[in-house]
Amino acid sequence: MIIVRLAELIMKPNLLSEVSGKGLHDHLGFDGKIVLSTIMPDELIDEFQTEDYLRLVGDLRPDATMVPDNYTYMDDPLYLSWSQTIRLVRNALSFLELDIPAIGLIKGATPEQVGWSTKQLLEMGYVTFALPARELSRSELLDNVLAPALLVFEKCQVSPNLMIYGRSYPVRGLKKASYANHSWFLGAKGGTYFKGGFQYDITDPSIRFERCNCGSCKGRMAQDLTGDTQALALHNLLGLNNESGGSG
Amino acid sequence: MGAGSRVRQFNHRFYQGEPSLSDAMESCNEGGESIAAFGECQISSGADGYELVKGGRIVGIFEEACIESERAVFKLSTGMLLEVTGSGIREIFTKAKAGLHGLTASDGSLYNGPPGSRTYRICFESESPELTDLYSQYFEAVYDRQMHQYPDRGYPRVVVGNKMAFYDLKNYGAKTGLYTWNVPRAYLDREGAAEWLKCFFSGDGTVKLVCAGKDYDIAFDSTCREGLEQIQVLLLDEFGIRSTLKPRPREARPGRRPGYNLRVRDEVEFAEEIGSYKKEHIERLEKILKKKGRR
Amino acid sequence: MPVVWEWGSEFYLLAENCEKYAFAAWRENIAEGAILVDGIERNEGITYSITGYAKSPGLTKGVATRLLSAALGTKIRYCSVELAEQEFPRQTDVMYREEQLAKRVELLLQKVGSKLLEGDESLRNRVGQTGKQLEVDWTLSLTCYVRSPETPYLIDCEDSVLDVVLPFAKKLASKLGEVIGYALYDRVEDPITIDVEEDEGHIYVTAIERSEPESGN
Repeated sequence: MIIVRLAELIMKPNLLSEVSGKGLHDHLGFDGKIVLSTIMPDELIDEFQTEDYLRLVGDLRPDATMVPDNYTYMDDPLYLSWSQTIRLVRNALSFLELDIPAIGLIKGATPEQVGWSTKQLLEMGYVTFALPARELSRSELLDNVLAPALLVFEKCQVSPNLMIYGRSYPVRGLKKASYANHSWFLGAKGGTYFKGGFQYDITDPSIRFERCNCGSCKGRMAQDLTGDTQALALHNLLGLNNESGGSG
Repeated sequence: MGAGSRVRQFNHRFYQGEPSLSDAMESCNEGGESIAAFGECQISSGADGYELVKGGRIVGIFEEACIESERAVFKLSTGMLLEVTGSGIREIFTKAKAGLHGLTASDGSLYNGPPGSRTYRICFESESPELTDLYSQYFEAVYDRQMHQYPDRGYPRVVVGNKMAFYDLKNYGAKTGLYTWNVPRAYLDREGAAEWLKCFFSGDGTVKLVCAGKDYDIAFDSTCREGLEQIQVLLLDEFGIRSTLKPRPREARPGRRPGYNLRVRDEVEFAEEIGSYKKEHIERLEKILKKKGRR
Repeated sequence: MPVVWEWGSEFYLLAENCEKYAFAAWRENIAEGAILVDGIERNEGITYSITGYAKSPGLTKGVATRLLSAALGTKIRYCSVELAEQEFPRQTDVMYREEQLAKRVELLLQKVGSKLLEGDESLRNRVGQTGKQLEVDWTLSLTCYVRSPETPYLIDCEDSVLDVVLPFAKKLASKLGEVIGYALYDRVEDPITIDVEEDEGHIYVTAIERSEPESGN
């Protein structure tokens, strides 16, 4: 399964028009599952209405899509973040019209916003959720959003599919989740070698002479992958997959 | 997008407080006094600072600006400037950042390990203490962080672990691989180009006063051929300085990698326009200039 | 050619990494390992490499430590380790004493000059018409053979001036053992001119082998 970012297409109108004509599968020449990510910069979020999103999803024809993104900052006035939270729920309701699965977003500036919006989506029938985690992880605020959501799942006695989006290393204590990111590729471009949940410079003496038997390395030492970005990227991806219990 | 702290995200995305160059900016109906215009761009000064307007939209408001006859330059952060000319707008390095990049490309290293083990490490070491001092100075000027001195086997060495600076230098091509680097041509004005070359030359350049048949020889040495080719183009385009690139012939020992030498042909112009920070180079370049009656 | 250490890593790792790599990669059929340190002496721009040999993985660290000690003071670009099923060739048919080198270099440069004039008509005409002396800049590859109790060492240095490269090679050798002789790479196949300059009495020509690509402006 791959994830395509809607933002990338929106920022390149020519590309968007080309892909809209063919659909994502034909444009990419890819038969597997394609999920459309709606995570995008704030200034793009403001430009689109619900109908615009629905039309784009119809044109691009992914296999599944996230509901439209919003922005909820903890240092914004509560009125703003609540408006955005309500907007997310409204959009999620509209996305039920689609004939492809929709993925709910776990967002909110306060535990109440996170809890309320997650509960609304559960009651609508959403069974898969994505938690955009990159900014939150960097700011060490991920727990502030994850914990209220997990509490709602527990209270409702459900265990939906959870995707941690934009983070490569596992969340401690989170037993069942999948991880969506492209750090495995970006890391490979920069000579980063993934091992045991950590990222190493490929020249790190603690790993560079170790042999790896994954499908990419096939017995090679870490440093033998120097310059072979493709092999290194595949090694990293396989490593991430192992670390996340095969659900990455 | 859109989680955590808005202030922090704005800082991270838009150079710590400066406005983005996105087109999604409000239209400009009023402004301060117009003080300069370059192509589509107008600059006016007001109570809040210098306002840059392009095509009727505010690009940004800046506290500091330098208005010259052919361009205006606004201060951004982390060693960046916004240059506005009749041809358009671009981001360029400050002199300190250009020098830092050049030094990193020559004798610096960028290394990242797992947490707790030399994570996001930026290191510079050289046989010449004046270069490690310069590196420290430039690093502090650009990133507002001090480096630590850890001499190693008599080589002066400065080190710091800083994620932001690590990725900043890496993304601008200071070190693209183990032995490879790029000249950040798109981000260098003439002053920046001179500083980049001066700093790179200070690390990986040689000034020989005894050479085959000639009085002196100025050259760059590296195992990165593409990088040397970029230097060759920069020297010619920006300063009109010619050079010749040749491989370094060597015995084919097991494990030996090819090396390249870029010899400068317009030595006097190089000594005058570029120069070096390395003590030994400075002394020898002075001798070259004296010999040619330029001193 | 696995590189086990690069400039920018701590120096203590050079020998440690050699040993780690040797123990990780050494198989039963391996007869010998060659440890090579490559660098540049930046005051005169002399590139060099020093190669030492080890018959077992346990000996690599000692060899690497001695190579490092010899090379300190220069920019040590990297260290590599190569393993082979047979001993690495390290003798040469022709070995010179120090006092013979000047003459060998002179003959080499004459050979290069002759081949250049043979193959380059415009250069030939220029020299003929002006009567100026042809000075050839040709990179010399000098190998210094060093004997020590532990292992032999090969020091390869490159520079275009013998009076510059020879003292440097001797300085490196002095830290490793006793010099038993020198070799000068004197094979000249098809030299080409890549740079020409003139003054009142001389035509200065920089030449390389045609097989080595270059670019100039």
